[in-house]
Amino acid sequence: MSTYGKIARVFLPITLVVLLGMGAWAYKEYQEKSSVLIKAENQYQRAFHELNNHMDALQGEIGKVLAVNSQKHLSDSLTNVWRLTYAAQSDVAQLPLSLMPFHDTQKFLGRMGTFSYHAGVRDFNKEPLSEKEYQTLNTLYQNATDIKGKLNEVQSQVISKNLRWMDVELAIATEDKKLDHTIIDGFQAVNNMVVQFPEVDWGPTVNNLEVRKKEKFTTLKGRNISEEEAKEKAAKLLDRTTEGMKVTFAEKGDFPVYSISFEGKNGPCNLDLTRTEGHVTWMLYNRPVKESKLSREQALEKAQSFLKKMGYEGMVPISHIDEDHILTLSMVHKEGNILIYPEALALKIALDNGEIIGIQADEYVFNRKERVFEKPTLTHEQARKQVNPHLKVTGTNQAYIYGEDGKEALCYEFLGTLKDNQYRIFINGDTGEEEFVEKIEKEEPEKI
Amino acid sequence: MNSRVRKWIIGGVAAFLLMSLVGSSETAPAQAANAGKSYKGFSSNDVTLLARTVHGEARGEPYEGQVAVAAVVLNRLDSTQFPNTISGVIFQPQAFTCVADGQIWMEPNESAYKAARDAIGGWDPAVGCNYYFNPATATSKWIWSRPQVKKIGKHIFCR
Repeated sequence: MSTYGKIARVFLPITLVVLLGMGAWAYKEYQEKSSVLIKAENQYQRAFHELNNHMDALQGEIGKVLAVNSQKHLSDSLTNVWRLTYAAQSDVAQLPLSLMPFHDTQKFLGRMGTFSYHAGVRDFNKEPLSEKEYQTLNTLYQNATDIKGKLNEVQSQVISKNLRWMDVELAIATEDKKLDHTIIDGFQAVNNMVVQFPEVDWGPTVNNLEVRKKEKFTTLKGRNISEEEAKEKAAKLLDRTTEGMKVTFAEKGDFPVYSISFEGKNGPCNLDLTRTEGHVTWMLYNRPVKESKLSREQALEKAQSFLKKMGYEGMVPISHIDEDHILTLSMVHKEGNILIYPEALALKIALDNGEIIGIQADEYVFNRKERVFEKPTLTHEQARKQVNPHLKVTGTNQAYIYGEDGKEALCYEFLGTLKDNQYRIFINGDTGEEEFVEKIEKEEPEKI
Repeated sequence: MNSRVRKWIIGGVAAFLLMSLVGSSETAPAQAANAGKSYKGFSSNDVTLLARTVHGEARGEPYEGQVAVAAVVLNRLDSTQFPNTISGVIFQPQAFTCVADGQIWMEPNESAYKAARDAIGGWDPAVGCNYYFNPATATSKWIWSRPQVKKIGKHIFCR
C-alpha cells in the first residue's frame, strides 16, 4: 500500500468528522442568527402596524370631535387626539426612518398634538370652541384621512409582499437601489403629501410657541463685529492677549457666531460670540479644579464682579450646584422687586481661585430688553388665595415668565413646600390663573 | 407640552440635581437610590445614558466636541421631530452609531460625564444643531444635504 493510502485511511474519517461538526456548528449559528433577525424584524413590524392602528384611531377620533356637542365628550375626544398623536410619533421613532425625510410628518403630528392638547384641557364653559377652531379641526380631519389612507396602502403591500423592515434599514444605510423600495417610497409619498397640505390655522398657542422660537434669535440689534473685534472682546473679558486664538465663523446655526478657541494655562478654552455686537453666548474653560478655597459667598462676589465687567448688572442667583470644587450659579435679572426669568444666565466658578471657567448666557443675550411693567390687577393677597392651601408658602416674589401660550406674563411667584418637595408656583397677576408650576430639587429659599 | 416653556424658566439651572454623578460604578447604589428624583425630567440614569452616548460617539474628540454631541441629543428633545426622552432619542434606530455597534455599553470616563452635565446645564457649542456626522465614515448621502453649521474636531454639526 502506498504511503498516500495509509495517510488517507487515517485522515479521511477524521476529516469527515470535522466537516460534519463544522456543518452542524454552522447550521446552529445560522439558526441563531435568523432567530435574532426575526426578533428584530418583529419589533419593526409591531411599530409599523401599530402606527397604522394609531393613525386609524386618530382619524376616527378627530371625526368624533367634529360630531360631538357636549363639553365632556369634546374634551375627551380632543385629549384622545393628543394621546394618539403622541402614540403615532412614538411608533415612527421606533422605525428606521431617521435618515430619510419623514420629518415634516413628525412635525405635523407634533403640532396636531399641541393644538388638541391645549383645546382639550380648556374650560369650554368659559371659552367655547370657536368657528375658526372647528374649521381647523375639519382640515385636520381631512389631513389625517389622507395620511391614514397612504399608510394603509403601504401596510397592505407590506403584508401581501412580505416586505421586511430590515431591508429598509439596509437600503437606507447602504443606498442600495436593488433592494425593495416600496416602504421607503410609501413613507416619502406620505411626507411629500404633508409638505403640500394647505396651510393649517393652528391658532395662537402653536403659533406663539413657534414664532417665539423663530424670532427669538432675530431680536438682537446692533452692529456686526469683525473677527478681530471678536478676538479682542474675548481677550479683554478673559484677561489675556489675543495671541494663540483661533476664530471660525458659523452662520447657519440658530444665530451667526464667532467661535474662538485657544489653549489656556491648564486646558482648552472655547467661547462663542454673537456676530451682532459680540455678546458672549457661552464659554467653557476645561481645566482641573482640585480644591475648594473659597466660600460660596466669596464665589458669588467673584461672579458679580465678573458680570459687572460683562456689563450685566442686577443679576441675582436663583439656584446653585456645588460639585467637584466648581460652583455653578444660575442667575436671573431682577428689576425692582421683579424677577425676570427669561433673562437668565449661568456661571461656573472654580472654587480654588475664583476664576470664572464657564458662561452660558444665550437666554440672557436674546431675551434681554427694556420692559415696561404695569401694576398687576390682583393684589398679592388675592393671588395668594389661588395657591393650593396644602402648600406651605415660604417665600414670594413678583416674576416675569413666559406663560403656557408663549406670551410673557407678569406673575406672583410663590415658593412653597409640600411633602419635602419644593415648588415654584406662578400665579398670573391679572387672571389669577396658575400660569406655571415647577418642582425644584435644590434651592436656597433665603436667596429669592 | 410645557417642556419648551419650561426650558428657559429654568434656563441653565438644570445642572443642579446632577450631584455626585462622577465616578460611576462606585456611586451606583447612590444613583439607584436617586433614580426616582428628577429635574427637568432627567434622572441620574438619564445622565449616565447621555454620558455613555458621549463616550461612545466622541471619546478622543476635543471637550467642546463632546459637549456638542450631548447638546445635539438635548436639542432633539426640544424638537417635535424627535422623541421626547433621552433614551428615546439615543435608541432611535440609526440615530447613533455607538448604539448600533454596541459601543454605548462601554464605561464612560469622567470627561463624558462632565460634558453631559454641561450640556444639560445649557451649554450648547452646536448652536441648536440636531445632527452631526463624521465625514470620513458617514454612509448616508442624505446627511450631506443638511445645512452645515460648524466643524468641531472630526464632526460636522448640521441643522
